[in-house]
Amino acid sequence: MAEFTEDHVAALAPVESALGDARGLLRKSAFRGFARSADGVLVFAECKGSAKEPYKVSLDFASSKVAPSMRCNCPSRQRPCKHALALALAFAQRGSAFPVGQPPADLIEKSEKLKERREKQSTVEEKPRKVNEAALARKTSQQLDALVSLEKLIIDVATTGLGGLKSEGVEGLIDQANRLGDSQLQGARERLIRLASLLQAHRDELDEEDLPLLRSPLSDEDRHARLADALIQLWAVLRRGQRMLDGKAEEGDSRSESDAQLEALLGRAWKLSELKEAGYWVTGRSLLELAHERHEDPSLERISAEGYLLDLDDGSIFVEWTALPFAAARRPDTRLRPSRLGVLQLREAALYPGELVNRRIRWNDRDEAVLSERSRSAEDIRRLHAMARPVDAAIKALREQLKNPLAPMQAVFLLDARRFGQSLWGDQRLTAMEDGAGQRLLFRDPPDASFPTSLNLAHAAAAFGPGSVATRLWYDPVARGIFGQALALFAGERHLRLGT
Amino acid sequence: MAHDLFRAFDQDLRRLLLAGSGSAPADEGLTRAREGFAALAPKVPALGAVVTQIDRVLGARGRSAASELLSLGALNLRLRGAQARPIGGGDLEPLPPAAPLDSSTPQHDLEVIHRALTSGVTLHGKKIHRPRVIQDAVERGVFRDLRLLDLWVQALGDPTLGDLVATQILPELGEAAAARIERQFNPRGKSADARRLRCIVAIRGEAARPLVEACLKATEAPAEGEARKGRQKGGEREMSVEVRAAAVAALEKVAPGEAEARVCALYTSEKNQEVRAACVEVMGIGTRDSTLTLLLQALQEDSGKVTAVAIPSLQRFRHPDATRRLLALLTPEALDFKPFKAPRARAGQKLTRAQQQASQKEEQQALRSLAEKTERVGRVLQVLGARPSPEVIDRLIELFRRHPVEAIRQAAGSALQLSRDRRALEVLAERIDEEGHEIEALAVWAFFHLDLTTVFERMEPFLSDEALATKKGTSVARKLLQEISGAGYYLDHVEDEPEEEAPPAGPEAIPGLDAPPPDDDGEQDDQLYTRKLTRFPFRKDVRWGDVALRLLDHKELSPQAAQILGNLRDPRATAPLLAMLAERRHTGAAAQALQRINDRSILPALVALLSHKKLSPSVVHLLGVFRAREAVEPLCELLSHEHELSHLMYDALRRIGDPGAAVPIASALLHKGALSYPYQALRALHQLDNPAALPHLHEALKKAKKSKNAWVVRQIEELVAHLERDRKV
Repeated sequence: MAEFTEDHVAALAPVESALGDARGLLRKSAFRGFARSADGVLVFAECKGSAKEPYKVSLDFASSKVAPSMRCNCPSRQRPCKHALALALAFAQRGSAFPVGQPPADLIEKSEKLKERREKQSTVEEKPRKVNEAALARKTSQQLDALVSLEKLIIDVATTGLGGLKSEGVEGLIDQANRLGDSQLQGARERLIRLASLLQAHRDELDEEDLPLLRSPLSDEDRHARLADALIQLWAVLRRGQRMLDGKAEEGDSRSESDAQLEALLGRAWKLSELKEAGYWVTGRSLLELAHERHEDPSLERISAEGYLLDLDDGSIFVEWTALPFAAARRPDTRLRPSRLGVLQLREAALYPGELVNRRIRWNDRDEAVLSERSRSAEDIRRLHAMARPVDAAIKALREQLKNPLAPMQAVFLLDARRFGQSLWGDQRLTAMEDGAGQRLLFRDPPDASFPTSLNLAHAAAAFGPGSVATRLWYDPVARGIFGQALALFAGERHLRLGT
Repeated sequence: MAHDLFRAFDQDLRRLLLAGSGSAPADEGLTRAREGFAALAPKVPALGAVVTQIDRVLGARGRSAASELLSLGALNLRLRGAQARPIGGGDLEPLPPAAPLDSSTPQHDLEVIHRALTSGVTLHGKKIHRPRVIQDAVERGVFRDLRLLDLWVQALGDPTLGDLVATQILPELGEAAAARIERQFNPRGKSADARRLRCIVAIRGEAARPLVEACLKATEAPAEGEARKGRQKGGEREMSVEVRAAAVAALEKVAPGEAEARVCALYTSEKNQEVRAACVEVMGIGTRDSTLTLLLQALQEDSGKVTAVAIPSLQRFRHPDATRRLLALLTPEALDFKPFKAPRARAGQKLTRAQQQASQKEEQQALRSLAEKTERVGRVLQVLGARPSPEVIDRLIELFRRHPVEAIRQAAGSALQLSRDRRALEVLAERIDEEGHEIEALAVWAFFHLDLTTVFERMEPFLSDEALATKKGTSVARKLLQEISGAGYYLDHVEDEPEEEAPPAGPEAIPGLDAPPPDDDGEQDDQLYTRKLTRFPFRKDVRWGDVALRLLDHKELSPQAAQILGNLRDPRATAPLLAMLAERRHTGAAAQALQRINDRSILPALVALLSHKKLSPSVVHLLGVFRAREAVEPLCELLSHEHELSHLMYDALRRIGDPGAAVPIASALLHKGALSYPYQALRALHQLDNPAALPHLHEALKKAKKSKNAWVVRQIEELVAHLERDRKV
């Protein structure tokens, strides 16, 4: 059974204060009769609350091992309530100490019903989309029209120059982005919005209390380089998109690459069944999370979570990605991916198309049988170290990706660090690593990094010595070279996470 | 060479995209790049395409220059990618050593702390109570994480969190943090750097001495005046006052053997009051005669900063002669002053403007002089209170009883309280029947603290019928009973009261009084009571039940009696408390007590009170708190007519949670004036979530639109949208 942690509980809390209230209940020992069923599926206890009789609180792991159904007969309208969260916290903290007890009959009945319902749900296959040819033709025509206006806009911007764009011009870009969204060209829309947000040379407003802002704003040089690249990439998306919508594939592109470009342009939301049908499907994988990150994108008003998962069989690194609009992020039924501490045993999953270093992986999380999580073993860590790559091999792979103007200018690798030290670059003293062949890599945080990690790496490397480093290799257009940003250090059996 | 060519080409493209493509066809940089690439093309065939594309740009006219330039940019991206290499650095030097620190903080905690330390707002822009988040992290020990280390170190510069982080977090992280703090430490910085220094000293102890000495060097250097001026003129800034003061204070830890002598020397030569205050603080650890003399001088100084520190230093100063010399300061001359009385003008006397001004000036001077004398004596008394001896107590009692100036009497009383001497407490408690906040507070506090285990026995005489019949009897009984009920002021506002000192309540204490309260909405209030009951267990003494039942009929003491019965959850009290509600006598206190007793068998009687001619608001509130379903129908019936308590009825129906009440509530909104403040009704309708209320709500919306109250219109519209939402989802 996957380890049920406080993080899982936190992910279930409907509001931040609910967790604090739950901890308060545990502090004042409001619970009695903690118990779990012999099979570990049901956890139950009684909590002294405001009513005369104590509340009956239970967790039901029949449907999920990390997101149990929570029940409580308190009158609170907030679900899960603080009592259920408190029981979950207690179970996450010392579940193994819970004595085995006979669950009440009604609880067993509810649990069985839930299990049946889940099984039924998981067996329902996602139906592939039905294609309405006439509607599709209309949509394609609308998209081509939208791309024509986008082309006009980009040429206008390039003619005027990015530096000469006034605030009305930026608003024009945002209007155009909304029109792209209306034409279901989400990928192009997102790129245009990012360009607009780079143009709005906004600085975070200082708080009244003068918070020490750790994120330094981009320097002019960085911003200009990013602006130019963003405009060129948008142009590349436009050109490819026009050809693809006209039914002409780019010469030399594989089918996977064409599909990926379609995604880049349209921001296509693949159904799992479609990915399976198209052959983007893998089975029987063991994955270990190297790093987990969360990003907030104010321009797209979206929060996303990424987990970099190492395939313990072939050393590939996949990315598990979930995103939510800000407005949806506080809804109790919406969840971003949690950080995963064990080894994921994946029965089957979709691997998104594209010739990228980190392909996106996704599975049916409604089906409990698809994924199981076990604790990490020494053997897993040994395999992990064996899969760490030398710097040269990683650079070569990134270079291949960088040749594609539509691909991200970064990728995550597991590098074999035999020696750490520090090295001068300009007037900056940076942490550096050398691999077995003496090839060196300098670590520096990207200027827009949401969580700087370089100091953390220096500390961890000095304290725990060399090992395998989960590293984001990123291309710096100003320095015209590649730097690393360390995400985690594996030193012996220790997993030191350096960012979040 | 080729490398420079590519770099220049990249920069030229960027420049053209920023400046506009109009100048691209005649751009010299592009022309140079074309020549360079053309020369390399035979060796690197991929550059041929670049040369061709540059030609297109150079040959383009008008808007086509932009599209050609963008296509050239796309080609450049490929080219750049193919050439990407890791950035090289200088020689590899060893990393500075670091202490091990793990990274096992749960993801959720990490994010919350990260937000509190950086943006200070939640994802939805809601302000985070940052000190509470950090305090919670401290209490749960979830701050020891490699990923947070840098954030903690940065937070030393945060005016809100700096002290909390410096005292409770970074010292716990030990050397792992000290090295980073030292790297950021600027001896010329201000309070943030003083915090950094204090933090380093807290972590390293005596090992931080070299750093402290370096900070003290400028401070202790002889003939510093001129030299300092010279340095400042030359542009070199002095070490900041804050850092110097922190360094002086650190001497106590880094050089305990030398600290006393050094701070004494510095105190006499230093002019800055903050640094002098730091010296006085350290003097508190001393034992020498000369230090005592300096401390006594400091106590009499005019600088508030220095004297404020001199008091605690003298309180802890270990010297056999200290108390005697302090007492010696209370000379007859020092105490010879009387309350100020402004001279009265004689009848018929008319003062000129100049005379009036002179008289005013004189009065102000006299008042100022009196305040200074009082303050000086007050400081001595404050120190003496912490050094109790029979002589000290005698002197304090004498001043408390006899000094003509009230401020001195109060200062002596506070010193007696501080001494905790039994004789002192007896003297204070004698004044239990006095009015006036200061003395009354001391007397009540002393009365209880004379012996916390015999409070009941000692209070009994004050609660007898004879005592209550005396002139001040009721007033004394009320203030004592208020403290028993937990609603008093004096016992629960003394912050230095250690909880563990509270003795057990005895075998008759009622068990289960610490259980959570019956109403979620009032939970915080009740938690406060629970804490109060636990803090002073004599409040849980079951014998109060009989006393309170007897006093429930007392005209003036019944609210306190009701509250005590509620705290004790005494079931005998339900009938008399219901009677109080029926008679509309202290209904608030009666309802609160009934709520705590939590006996649902009173519900029929309570519902019957709804038909009372003069309905009490407390009855309606209590029915809601009890979530009494049997009250739904009568409450709805009452709502069918305009009622002055309708807002309380909406609230009660919301708590009861019967969706059937939604229609009567919505229809009550149509009554005259109901839309002027519909907050409770709309809240209730939102929670009851019954779409059957929609027809009435639409009508109310029309009415609200006519009244042009935009807020009400928006609230109703939102509620309508909520009730009309698709319920299948």
